[in-house]
Amino acid sequence: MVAIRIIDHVKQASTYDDGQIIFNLISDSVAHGEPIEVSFSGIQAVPSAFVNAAFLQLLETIPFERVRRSLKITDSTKFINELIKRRFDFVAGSMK
Amino acid sequence: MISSFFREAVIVKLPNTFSFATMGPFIANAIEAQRESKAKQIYFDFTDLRFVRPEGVVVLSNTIEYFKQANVKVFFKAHNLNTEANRYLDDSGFYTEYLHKKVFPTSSCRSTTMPLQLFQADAYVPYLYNGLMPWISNEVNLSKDTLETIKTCLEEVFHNIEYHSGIKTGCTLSQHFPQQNRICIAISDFGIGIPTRVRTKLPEMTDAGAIREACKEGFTTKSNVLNRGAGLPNLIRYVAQRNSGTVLIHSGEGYLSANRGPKVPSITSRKMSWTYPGTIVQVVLRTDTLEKLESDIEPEEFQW
Repeated sequence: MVAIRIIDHVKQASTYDDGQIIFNLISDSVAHGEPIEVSFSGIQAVPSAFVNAAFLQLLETIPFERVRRSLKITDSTKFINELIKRRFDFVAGSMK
Repeated sequence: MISSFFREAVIVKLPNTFSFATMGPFIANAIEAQRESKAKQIYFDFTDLRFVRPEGVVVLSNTIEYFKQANVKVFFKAHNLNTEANRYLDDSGFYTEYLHKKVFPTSSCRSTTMPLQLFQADAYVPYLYNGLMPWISNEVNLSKDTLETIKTCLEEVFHNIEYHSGIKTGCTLSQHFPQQNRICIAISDFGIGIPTRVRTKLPEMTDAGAIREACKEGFTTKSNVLNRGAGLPNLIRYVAQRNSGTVLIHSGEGYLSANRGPKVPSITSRKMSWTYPGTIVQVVLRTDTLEKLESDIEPEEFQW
């Protein structure tokens, strides 16, 4: 399994640009249905711009079920989890 | 109160109290007077000013920036009167920003004030991470980690300016009111405003309706290719429901306030009788509920 630790690739997990860097690292694996782990180690909270760019953008070309099967989020917090799940629920729901 | 001389300069008097309730007529008078006279100089007269709210400092600063963009020079009159308002403006860095010196020799930044800061929207990180958040942490005696979620909420405001305002500058000031257990953070820009941006997608929308729409989950004008309309709703949901704080947004003729509701934030919006050229967001944090936010950054296993 490919594993990516966010803080190894961005100075802070904040902006669309920061999220885009993570998206670029994971999108091919997710598109091919390969398991990939993204670690939030050292990060306690992120704004929506980062989540939108890093993860929600996947839904533009990849079905939600495939994203769900491939993408594993680790070392996260309650705040991060709620944000990611709420954003996916809303966007995936609105695409049905 | 407006007067002009030789059509070369306009004088606009600040009211006795410069607060949310009185800033509207001041801005409207200043902009209208300058527009009508086409004066290239405008004087802000501080003679009557006795009290200024933190958001008033931000509004004054943004008004000056607005005139700067229009190549109108702004001058001050009676700003050296030794009043509480002028001392606060001096202590908060307002006069240093615009006169490049203090007005009163004894002025110094108060510990309860995070002074006026003009910022580039795409370069807010050093200010937020190394200035504002350590200041809040120190004021409320909580670790920076505990306040991480609040930091991301404030990032939503800065992102809103960076991605949607159409302008790259803004200004901010924060004030701690220890006796009221409140920290007021005012962030403003003189960009195109939320209503104008929303009407690119919903042309018939009123200003008040547009702000309300912008605060709904999923509404997006796609002003940025990755924009998915979650920033303001996130800010409001978290500050109102988790912190029991308040978010106030004023843009164009629209005004929105958000407070804690039974399950979701209680949001009211209305039309104002005056136009704010740009957007001002006030985040009022309750300091006596910040500590419980620490549970939000506890590790938790992610499950789809």
